[in-house]
Formats: sequence, C-alpha cells, structure tokens
Amino acid sequence: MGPVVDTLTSGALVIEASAASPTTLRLDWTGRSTEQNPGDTLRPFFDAILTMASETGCGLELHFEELEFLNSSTVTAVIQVIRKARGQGTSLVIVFDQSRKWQVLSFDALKSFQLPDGLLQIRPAQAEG
Amino acid sequence: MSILSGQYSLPLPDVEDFDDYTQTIIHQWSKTLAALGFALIPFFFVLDVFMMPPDLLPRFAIYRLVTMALVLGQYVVIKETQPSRFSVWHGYFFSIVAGGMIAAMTTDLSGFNSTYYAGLNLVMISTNTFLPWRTIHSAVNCLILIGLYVGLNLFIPNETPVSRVALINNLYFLISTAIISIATNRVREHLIREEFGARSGLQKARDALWGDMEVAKRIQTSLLPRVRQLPGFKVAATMFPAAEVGGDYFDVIESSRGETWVSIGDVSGHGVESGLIMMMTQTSLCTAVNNDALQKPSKVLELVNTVLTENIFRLGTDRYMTISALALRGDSLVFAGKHQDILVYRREEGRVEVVPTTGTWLGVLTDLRGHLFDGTIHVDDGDVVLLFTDGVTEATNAAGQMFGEQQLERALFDYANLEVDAIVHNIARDVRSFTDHLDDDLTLIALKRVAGAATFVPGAGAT
Repeated sequence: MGPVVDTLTSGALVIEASAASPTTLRLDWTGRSTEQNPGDTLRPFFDAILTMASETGCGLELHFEELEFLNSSTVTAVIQVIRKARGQGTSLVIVFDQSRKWQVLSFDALKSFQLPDGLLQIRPAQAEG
Repeated sequence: MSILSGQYSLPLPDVEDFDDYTQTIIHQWSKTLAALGFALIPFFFVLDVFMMPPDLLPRFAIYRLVTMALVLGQYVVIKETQPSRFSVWHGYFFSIVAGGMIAAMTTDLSGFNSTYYAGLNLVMISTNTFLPWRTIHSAVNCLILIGLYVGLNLFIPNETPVSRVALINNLYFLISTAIISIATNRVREHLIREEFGARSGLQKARDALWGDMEVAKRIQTSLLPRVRQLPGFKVAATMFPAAEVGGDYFDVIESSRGETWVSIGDVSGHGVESGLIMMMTQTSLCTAVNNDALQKPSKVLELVNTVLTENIFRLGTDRYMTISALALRGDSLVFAGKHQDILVYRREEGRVEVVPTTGTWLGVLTDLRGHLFDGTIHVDDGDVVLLFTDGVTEATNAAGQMFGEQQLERALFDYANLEVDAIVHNIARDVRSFTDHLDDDLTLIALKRVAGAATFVPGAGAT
C-alpha cells in the first residue's frame, strides 16, 4: 500500500485512501457500516476522491475484504460511486471477500453494472493473484 | 402480527403546558430548598454560640429546633405529594418559617441594631434562586420577609430603642437584595419559557417522526397476506419489524388463474420511503402475476422493475430491493431474483441444500432483461423450503457476531420435521434470543411439501 492520501471515519467504518500506484487510488474499507444515512458522510468523501481521480487520471480500487458489515444503505452509496465513476470515465475495481456470505450476496448483485467497456470490475480477492 | 415496540423516545418531558411544567420544577426544587434549610439551620447554631449571650442560647436552640422540625416536615410533605398548583406555597411556607425565625431572633437581640437580619438576605436569595416561580411570587415573597422583620421588631417590645439609622441601613440592604432576587427571577422565568418553547418544538418534531414511523409500519404490516390455500404446501410465515421499519416484504399470491406465487424481499434503507417502495412492489407483483398464465418469475420481476425504477426516479430517491419470486408449480418451485439463498431441507437425504439466488436487485437498472435467470427447485413430500431476509442472518449478538447462514441451516435441520408453523416459530425464537435487539426487520417463510395439503398456516407473527 502506498502513502495514505485521505481517511474517512464514520461511526465504526473507516475508509483509507492511498496511492497504490501512480495510476491507482486504493480505498480500503474496514470496520462496520451501520449508519442509517451513510450517504451524508460518504458522498462528500467520494466526490472528493472521484474529483482527484478525474484530475490525475487514476483508477479506483475499492477493497472490502476486511470490512465486517455493510448495510443496505451503504450499498446504495457504493452504487452511487459506481454510477459517478462510470459517468466521468474513471475505471473502478471492486474487490471483495468470497468467504463472507454477505459480501458475495451484495457484490454479485452489483455485477449487473459491469459492461463490456471494462470500466467496472467486481471480483473476489482470490482472483487478484 | 408480533411487532416489537419502538424505541424512539427522546429524553423530553411530556408537558401539557407551561404551568404544568413550572409546577413540576417548583415542586422538585422546593424539596431541595427544604433539605438545604434543615441542614443549614442547625449549622448556624455554631454562630449563635460565638455571637449570643449565653442566657439566650437555649431560646435560640428552641427556635432552631422548631424551625428545623417544620422544614423537615415540609420536606416529607413535598416528597409524598405530587406537583400541583399549590406547590408554589412551599416557597412561601419556607420563607415565612425561616424568615420568621430570623426576625424573632432579632427581636430577642437588639432589634434593628442586630446584625442577624443578614440571614433574611440568605432566605430571600435561596428561595428566589431555587424556585422558578413567577415574578409576582418573588416580589410578594420578598415583601413578606421584609414585612415580618419590620413588623416583629416594631410591635414586639424590646429594651433597645428603635434605631432609625439602623432601620434605614438594614432596609436599604434588604430591599436591594429583594430587587436583585426579583430581577434574577424575572430573567430566569424568561429563560425557562424559552427553554420550554424549544422543548415543546422538539417534542412536536418527535411526535411527527413517530407518526411517520407508524405510517411506515402500517404500510408494511397491513399488506401481509392473510390465510391462503396453497395446493401441495403448508406455509407459515412471520415478520418482526424493527423499530425503524426495515422494508422487509413477503407475499403469498393466488392469481385469478389459480396459480400460486410466493415472494420475499427487502427494500434498502429504512422508514416511510422503504414502506412505499415495498407497497409499490407488492402491487406491481400482484398485477403482473395476474397478467398472464404461467409466466416466468424472471419476466414478472422485469416488469415489476420497470414500474419500480420509474417510481424510484420520480420519488428522487436511490432505493433498491432484493427480491425472490417463486411460482409454485406442482412439485417444483420456479424462482428468480437476487435475494438471500434459498434453504431446502431434503427429508429423504436428511440434509439442508443451499440454493443460491442469481441476477441483480430491483431498482438498480432500468432494464433487467438479460440480468435475471429462472431456476427450478424440485421438492418432495416432507421437504421444507425456507426463505428469509438478511435481518435473520445478520442479527448480531452483544459480541458483534452475526447469527449467520450456517446457524440458520442448522436450525432448519433441527426443526424440519416439526409442523411448518413450529419451524418458523422456533427459528424466529432462536434468532431473537441470539440478538439483544433487532436492527433490521426479521422475516421467515417456510413451505413444507405435503401431499394433498391445501392450507396456508399463518405463523406466530403472520396475522
């Protein structure tokens, strides 16, 4: 992991943004996201990250492997990130832990956002090689 | 329908009006004032010992004992009674008893020349500081105290002649203290009124929010299915809505053509919006399954999604819905929709089979063609199909552990040979005893294949 560029703490959820490579911003999700309206804190954070990605031409990698729980309201916020990233042409990779049932259920459903353009990839952590 | 009671209460008083509110405070603080009185009155006897001629000490001790007893009695009365419009008299009683004692002491000493009158300032300040009564009470109370002092010293014979200078001096300080007390009281009354207004506003907001939650809960629970006849299956269901309605949904539908459908889902987020989306889904699904015969569940959900995404867009929200729709066709269940896994207890093999659901959710894409797929589950006599929402598997205990799907599989295995309503009841009981509170709705539906069975059995919480 490269140098940390930004960190969001919202309740028991921590998202750490780091420069994984000159072309990739990596966001590691840890803890639990149980807020009723997580969009209030996640939206401005991800707006800033997406702006940074757009300005630097970086792609985003969202890592959920260490996340213990993500409620449905937070999944909504993730869907918004997917839509905005696609809208501005930023490539987005979502990596999840296949051994966690709730992650499989959530991220499998989000695979419907994957299009042939390859801008969005959703894959289990094991596939990273 | 078993519904958990909500935990919405903010720490705000249920107040009818400002008078009720102040009566309560006056009553409570009168008790504190009385307690302070019976603690300090004997304490000042130490001062008497240093200041008084020895021959007066027994008399002063009696003054203090009688006063202390009266104030102690007042304390008991306040403690044993409820606030009322008479609570304000406790302030007067305390002032007259404590002030009367001080005034009586000055008559025994040197009348207006005695410095003991200073105690009246303490009584005036303490009474008007503790009691948030109206300014008029504050003013009358101060007048009574000054009147007691002047009256007793003028009319009770004293060997020391009345000193006009001392009288003017003492009255000057007493009246100044009275003015300060009254002014302080006036400011505080204003602040308390403002505070009361803010509290009332918060209370109204809380009530409005509570009303919204009740509406959401009503939407969610009023649309649940009633007793149904299901050919070939015994069905039981239960739903426990969380305090802030989580958007769980289930339905058992018999189409006009005699087809039977079962559906279960969960709208993202909480509250009224989730309830509305759940209602739209229920209505759309009922309409869709009645639209044509032998439709594929995937096609039905595609249709429902078209309506739902349009309405979600119109609402300006970003909800989505996990859902599984199952068509009961003889000894098979044809299903589609991305929701939780479907658990199937196989009686012959004595094991629980996990059937994953595929595709995506409703509301995330405008067109779901190509995203939903139909699957088929064959069920034999005695097999049990269990549908559930994430409120079951994600129920969390005090240690932060989730109930989890594996524990649910074990529970199904343990209870599968019971009657279908007992299966649902026991699993729901296990989950609720596992968690100390429900963060999310909890929904379970069990379908047990029974040759010739034709009854919908409502579960413990289903009607």
